[in-house]
Amino acid sequence: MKGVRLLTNSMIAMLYLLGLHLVRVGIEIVGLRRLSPWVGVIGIVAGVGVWIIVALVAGMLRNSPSREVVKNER
Amino acid sequence: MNFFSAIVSALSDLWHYVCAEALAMGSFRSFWSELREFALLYPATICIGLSIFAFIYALLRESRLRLDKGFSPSLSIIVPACDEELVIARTIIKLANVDYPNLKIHIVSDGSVDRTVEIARRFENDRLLVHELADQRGKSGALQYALDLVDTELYMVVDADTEVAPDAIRKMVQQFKDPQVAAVTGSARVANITNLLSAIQAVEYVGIIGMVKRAQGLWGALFTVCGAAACFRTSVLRDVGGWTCCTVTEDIELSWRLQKAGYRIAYEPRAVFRVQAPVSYVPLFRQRMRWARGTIEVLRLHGNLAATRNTTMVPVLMEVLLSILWILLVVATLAHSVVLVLTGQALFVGTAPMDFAIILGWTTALLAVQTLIGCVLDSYYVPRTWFLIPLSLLYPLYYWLVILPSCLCGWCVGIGSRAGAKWKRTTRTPIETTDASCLTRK
Repeated sequence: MKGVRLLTNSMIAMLYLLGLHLVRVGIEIVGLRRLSPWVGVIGIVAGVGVWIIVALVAGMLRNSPSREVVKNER
Repeated sequence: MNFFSAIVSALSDLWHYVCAEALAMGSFRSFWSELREFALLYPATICIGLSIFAFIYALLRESRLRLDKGFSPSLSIIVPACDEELVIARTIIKLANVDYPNLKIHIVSDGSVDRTVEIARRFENDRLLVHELADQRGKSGALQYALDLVDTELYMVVDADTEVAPDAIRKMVQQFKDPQVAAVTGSARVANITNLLSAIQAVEYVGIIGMVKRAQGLWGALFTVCGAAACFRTSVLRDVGGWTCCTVTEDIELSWRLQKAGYRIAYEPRAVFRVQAPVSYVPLFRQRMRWARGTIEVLRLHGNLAATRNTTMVPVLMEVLLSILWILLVVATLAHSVVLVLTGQALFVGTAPMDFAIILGWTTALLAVQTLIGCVLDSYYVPRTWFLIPLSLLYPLYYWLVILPSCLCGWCVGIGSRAGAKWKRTTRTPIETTDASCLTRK
């Protein structure tokens, strides 16, 4: 159980880092004009998109005590 | 069709850029250069993330908040106090004016040697009780003493220097309709804007702390409740073990313990309370050092990723760890630059000075935009915050002079610290109690 939890949490952490990296690269491209600014904007949007997916996945996988209570009562 | 082909082409360019960066990181020199780029761009990245997430939170959650006046579970307000004669009367008056029916106020004096108890006893009645602890137990000890006493559904902590808005408690309580919510934190604002330092802290509360709480509210987990005013579900608080004295920041520790157990902490932006900010450098430095030390102590206790049942805590943990990494990288880069200058070599090797100037400009502009969004979102609850926007341009200077050195000192202390937290208060600004009723027994 602990191993599964560690794996899940690590995957969420990696996804969070991927989002951060995409936003960071996007800013770098826009700010320093290394490529077309639109590429940077798409990078920022993609990064924020990954972060939103992380928030949704983390919310779905959250193990809530009150959910367990409701399940037991049923 | 052209639009889609442009998008595909941009995505392809982005993919090649990211892949090229990943391949280049194979060598140590490129890896170090990549870390330095992370150090330069991390603040701007976080500014963009916070602004977008706070905005989405305001659209999806904040706009849907409602007020059900019929929902009023029993509530105890605990005011722990240690030598607070300058501010306690005003705090009590503000609490007495709170619009909430089912309420008891407990003033817990933790070994005060000044007139705190004498002043508080003037207001004592069946709704307001004063408790005097002869031996000093620290803030968490005083709060645990009160937790053993109360028999109400909700338990709220209000610091002795905090002014609670009349409708704040009723708004905070609404969040407890959700059975998963174990604690609610409100929106802290600076009460004493008397000089530039306190004004910049006001910017920080609106533009940084308020925005972080909104963004984290969308993530599903908060880094901490605000220790100055937070409300808890009493049964859950007892279930997780109540208040402990193992860190200097009992609010952060309890927040992590509650969330690790799977409970949720909600942010209520409509519930406004005003706190006293330090008005000089040394008390501010000490306060921030204590916060930084508490963060490290909490990471030592709860930073184990495998033991976290609450997956929404993972992004919060990552945020804290990356912030620490960022500060350490900045210090390393600065030290490296100083060595290069002293040895007569070029400054900012790997990153041209022009790039550095552009990035600094971008970061400051993004911070101003973030503060602007914070002011717009807060203008519904706190009027006249617009004057803070130009001050946000000074925030980077404040960060370098206050936050960064205090964090470094706090972390060093936190790594080797042992259990036990005593009162470490900031100097209070004396507040005149204009209300004559404070002088008479109610």
